Amino acid sequence: MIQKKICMVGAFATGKTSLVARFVRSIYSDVYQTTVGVKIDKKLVNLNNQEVSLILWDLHGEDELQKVRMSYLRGASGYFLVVDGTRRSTFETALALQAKVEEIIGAVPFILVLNKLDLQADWELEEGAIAQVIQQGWTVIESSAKTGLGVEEAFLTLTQKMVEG
Amino acid sequence: MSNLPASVLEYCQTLIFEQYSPAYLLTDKDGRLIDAGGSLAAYGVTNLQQGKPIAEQIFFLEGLLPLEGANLLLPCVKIEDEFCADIHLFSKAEGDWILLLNSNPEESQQQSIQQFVNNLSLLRHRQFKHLTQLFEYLFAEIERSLNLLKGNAMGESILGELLATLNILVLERSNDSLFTTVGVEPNWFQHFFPNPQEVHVQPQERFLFLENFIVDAEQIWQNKDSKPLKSGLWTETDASENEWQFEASAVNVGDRHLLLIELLEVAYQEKQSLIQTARENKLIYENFVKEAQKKEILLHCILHDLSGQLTAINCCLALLTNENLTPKGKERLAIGERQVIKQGNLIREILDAFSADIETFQAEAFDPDTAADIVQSAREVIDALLPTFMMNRVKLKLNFDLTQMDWQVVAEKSRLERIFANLIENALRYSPADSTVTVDLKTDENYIVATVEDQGSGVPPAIVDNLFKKFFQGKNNPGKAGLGLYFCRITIERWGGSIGYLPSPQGGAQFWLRLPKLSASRWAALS
Repeated sequence: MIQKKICMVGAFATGKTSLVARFVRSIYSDVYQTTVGVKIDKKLVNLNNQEVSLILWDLHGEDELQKVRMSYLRGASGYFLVVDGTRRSTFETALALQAKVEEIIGAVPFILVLNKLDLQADWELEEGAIAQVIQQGWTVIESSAKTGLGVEEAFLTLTQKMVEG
Repeated sequence: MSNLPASVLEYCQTLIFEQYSPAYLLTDKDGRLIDAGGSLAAYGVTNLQQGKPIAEQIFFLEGLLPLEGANLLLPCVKIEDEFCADIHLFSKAEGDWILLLNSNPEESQQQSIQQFVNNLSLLRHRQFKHLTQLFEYLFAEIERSLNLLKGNAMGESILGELLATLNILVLERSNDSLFTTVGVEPNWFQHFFPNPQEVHVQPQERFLFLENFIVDAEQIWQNKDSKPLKSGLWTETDASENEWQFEASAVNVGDRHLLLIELLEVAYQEKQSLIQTARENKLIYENFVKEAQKKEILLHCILHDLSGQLTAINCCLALLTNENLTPKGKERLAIGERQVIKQGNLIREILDAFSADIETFQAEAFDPDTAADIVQSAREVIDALLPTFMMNRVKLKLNFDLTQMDWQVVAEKSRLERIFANLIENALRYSPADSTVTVDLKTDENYIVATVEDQGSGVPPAIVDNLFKKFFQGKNNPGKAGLGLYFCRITIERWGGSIGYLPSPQGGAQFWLRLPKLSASRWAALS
């Protein structure tokens, strides 16, 4: 069976843990519980009749209180850059993290996840900035860990990309 | 040209005055008090004497006056542990102005966040110190025990029990890269490794996190580094879905390579709680900033409206000069005109003082029941402005197709009228006498396009790109705050429309706006 390591990276309170909880356990909690350190989960997915075991590394959010240890990313076959659509600063953090991650583990597949789609009325993201990263070849998926919208799609798309190599 | 009802305006003004408690002082160029007013008592300022140096009367202004060069903003100045104020100093022909605005809420919010961050730093420092002491003690004990091991099995037993009591599992890595437990296993061990009879343990098979860490640990063991390597925290879930937090350390003791896995209980909870609180506070602070920005926008809009009304009053006063007034009437008219000028200056100064960078403007849901009829809105604004146009000898025309009936757009009536007023007043300001300003409305399947065209000199190409930015004032601007077009843009964009400028083919300026028709928007929503 194919096994792939995926890392969840992004600023704090963007919904990384909630996305994993929604995908692995189909649950969601509105209560914000900050992640300290790392939590690892496993999920078996079926992709084109092929079983793929995903090892999900949920890293703590990046800010002045906690910096992401880049050694956690070793061996990752792909990663999610998670952005909170209602906080523009988390998009900038994601851009900075992408450059750092690529420097450490090279050009592995990744997806920019614009989370909190259920709060779209409060989104602060600029369409121009999103269009620019899409133009650079980034895959961007809008999601809501709360409603589940786009979550499965994000994980399966990244799995597909990793399997295709 | 306000479309806010008087009661709303009055409420907003009261709100701002209550929140910021503005107070002002005016000094001459020698720093002597000329005038003072507003909520001075709120800042502990009383018993002022005109003509006396201000620095002798208000200690916190010592050394600040007279103002030389640029305006000065001193944010969050704490006065005698009681009041906190933003102090704005700006210079004008009549003297130096000092504007005091209450900033107590911002100050206490910032202070609370700073307090948390400082507490966190102190706790980190203390934790680091304790851990260092603990490890120093443990390593000394391990070394001492290993020395004893050769002849004293009792020593190993005591040390093993001590480490198990501290919830630390000690694994020794052999040359064949296998691990064996040293001493007594802590209680948590059996939750994850239920076969205690096994001689060798592969912790990375149960703890996937360690697969990654052991790569780095190998380097420490191979290089025989004396400094331990710590893994950082990680969380594991046992078979009963309970979460456990651990931290691993790779160390060399003599020739032995050890992997220590420590269960973190209280230490983790304390750290998690602190970070959680700090981050929650940060989120609250971010929301607070957003709210403050919204209030600033509101303040600007109110001032902008006041400015519009003042223009209308000014025009009326100017018309009065043509009337056959008594000498007493003329005298009162002159007083009125002076007050209008003073009020205008005050509005401009407050706008200057508040011209902070405002980036966000949160969306509001549009209520279709308040949708405006664009023809009706344009007509009402034109009717209101006609006297001003006549006085300036400029014609004002409205063109639209009378056979069309569907003129409802996704826009709220009062704001749409304010947008038209802005564009038409701008056109008047740049129109020469005996010229015409034309408002034209055209409709297609989904949108209505309105244009306001004048016969002035048009907008210089160099400033076209900045026209709709906030606080933008063109060269030789006859005197607005640079908010009108910014307000138009953000409002129209919020309704899903767009606004822009095109030079008129006849040489004047032509501003256009495009708004979705209500019927089309409803059809899209249903689809």
